Amino acid sequence: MNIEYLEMDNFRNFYGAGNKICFSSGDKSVTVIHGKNGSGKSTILNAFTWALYGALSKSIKNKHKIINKRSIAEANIGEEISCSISIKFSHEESTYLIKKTQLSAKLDDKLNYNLHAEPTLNMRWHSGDGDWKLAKHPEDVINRILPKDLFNYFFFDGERMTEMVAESKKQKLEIRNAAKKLLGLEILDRSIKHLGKAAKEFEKELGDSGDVELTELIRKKTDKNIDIDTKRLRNVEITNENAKCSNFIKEIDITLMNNQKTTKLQRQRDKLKDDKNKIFTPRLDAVNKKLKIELSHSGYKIFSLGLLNDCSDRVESMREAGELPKGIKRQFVEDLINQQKCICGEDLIQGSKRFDNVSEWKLKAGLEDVEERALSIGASVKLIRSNIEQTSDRLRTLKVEKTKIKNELSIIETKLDDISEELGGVTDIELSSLESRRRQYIIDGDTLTAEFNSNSGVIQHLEGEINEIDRKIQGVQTTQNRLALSQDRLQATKDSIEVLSEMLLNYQESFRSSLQNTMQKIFNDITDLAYLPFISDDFDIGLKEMTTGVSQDVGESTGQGQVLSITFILGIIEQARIHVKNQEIIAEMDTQYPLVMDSPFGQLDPDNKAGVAKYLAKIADQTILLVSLSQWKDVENSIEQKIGGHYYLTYHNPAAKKELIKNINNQDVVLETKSDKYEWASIQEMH
Amino acid sequence: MKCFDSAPKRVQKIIKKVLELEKQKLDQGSPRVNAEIIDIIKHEVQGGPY
Repeated sequence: MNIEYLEMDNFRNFYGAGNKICFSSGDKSVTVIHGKNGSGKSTILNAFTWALYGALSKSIKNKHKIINKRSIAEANIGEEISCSISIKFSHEESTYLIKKTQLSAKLDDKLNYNLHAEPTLNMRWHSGDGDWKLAKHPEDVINRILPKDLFNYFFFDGERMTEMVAESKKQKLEIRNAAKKLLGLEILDRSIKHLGKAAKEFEKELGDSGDVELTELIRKKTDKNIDIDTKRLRNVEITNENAKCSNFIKEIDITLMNNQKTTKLQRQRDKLKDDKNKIFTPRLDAVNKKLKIELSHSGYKIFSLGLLNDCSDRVESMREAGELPKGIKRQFVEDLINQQKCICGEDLIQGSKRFDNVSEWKLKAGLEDVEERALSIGASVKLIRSNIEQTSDRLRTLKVEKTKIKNELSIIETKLDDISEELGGVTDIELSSLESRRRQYIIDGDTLTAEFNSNSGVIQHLEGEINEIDRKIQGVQTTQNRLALSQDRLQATKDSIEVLSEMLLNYQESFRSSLQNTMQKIFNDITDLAYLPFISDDFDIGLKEMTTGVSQDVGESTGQGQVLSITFILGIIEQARIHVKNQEIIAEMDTQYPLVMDSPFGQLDPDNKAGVAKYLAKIADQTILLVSLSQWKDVENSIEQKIGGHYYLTYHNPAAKKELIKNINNQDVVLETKSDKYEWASIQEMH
Repeated sequence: MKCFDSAPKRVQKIIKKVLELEKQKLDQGSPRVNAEIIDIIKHEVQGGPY
């Protein structure tokens, strides 16, 4: 970045337009602006920082009170007044012209004015071809050329000098920020921040953990499997007990068959049992099966009967209301017209009354599609009704057959009961007791069979529930796989943050160490003090005794403190050169910087002032020094060879007692003159 | 794991891609990168062995 000129229009001390300063560059890269206290040296520094970064010195409390007082006084109430700063500079191959403007209106006679809008910044630029273009985001362009975080070092306010070495959090933060900017570490910072946000997203996904749900499902499944096993085991027992009952019954039946007193009855019973088990029960099963099939295939039709009747009624009522065509078909009428013959045999000649009458029938005839559909609905209803009747007939037949078989079975059961009663009543107690035991076995067997069937039903139900649980487990396991992936991604994100954080620390440490070395070299160059600057791990800046290595308390306003501060500034600027040249991550900045310094020599003793001046001339590509005459006296010899231009500020002071004029190189320079009510400044170039 | 060179390959890839993205966004002056960073991580960590 190389600054060509600065032009101030009604900005603070500088009244009116045309307050322009052109800056030297190249071999004679130093421009010196001389001025008494209050003449506007700090205003020039503020003009740069306000135009480029919207920043003003701390001493300016109201950031909008920047319009020259004399220009306000001369304006009428309500009249628009403006102040502006124009800067022309070049950077790499391009030339930029920026103009920052504040528009206000005078409110009263007491120099009050309001702000029309926030100040605006316009930038035009060209890339060497003279074709000026308007920049859309001038602040971004400036920030890329010379980052805002670093401007304090390149537009240096001597009054801030003592703050540089003050042990404050702000100072440490400033150094860290400088390191980040110079090394391009802002990208690492932003990466860490954004990866942190990504990590939170993955953590959010993990928040809905499926562990608890899965455990609960597995527990339920286990419980149900235990229930099934218990029921199955019981059914095995039932089957065995039932078999025993059947065996006992068989044994009793054999005994009864072999006994003369009971053999007849037993034979009858066997016959009835055979009939029951081999004929009627299979027949009943077969009828039940048929009923089941019939009901599952066609049973629904019976339930649709109401719907069909409703549909049929609606079609009929529509037909009666004339909403559906009936009578003459449209096609029939069209055929008559095409054949030019009426149904009565008369000719149909176009234009005749008869033709018109027949044509009207066509309009009365319904739409063919609707008619077809109505007919189709009617046919469908008829067909379904016929099916329902057939189904009903078949079901009725099967029901009759079932009733018949059940009656037969009932008769057999009655006969069996009668036989059992008869056998129980035989005089032979042993036989009678056998029959009574047989009855008990049958009751027991029936009870066991009922329990067996109940258990089978429960098992079937539990198996259904287990299938449902399995389905849910599969869903949760899919979720768990997804969660595992999120966990993996979270870990990778955290690892990336850890590595980047370590890289950031390493870069900062490398910067700290490198800055410390540079500061020590500069300190040696500009002073004979027997100390060396150091920067602690915590970014505290201090001095150590060269021989003992013991750290030395440095008072903020002492000469040592000021040398240390200026060393720090120069060190930062030197680092900017080194790191931008060796930039690995980002190479945004040019290696050329301007250095604008307001009262940089402060309370330095003459030797140190000369040392600093010498170093300034060496380090900066372009230096703009704002100095008082007394400060300049001590340094001019050290920097003379690099000076490309001198400007003097004339202080128009209402309190001035007399005009202060100096003859410098055979040119009279007015340094102070008496003005009217308002103080202001003007610029005089020294030739 | 503190050093970039000794970090797992997937972490190295994520870091390189994220830095590249941040550099582009810095040039464009746009800070909206969250969705793109999540996409980078999802692309580099897809559940397979690494």
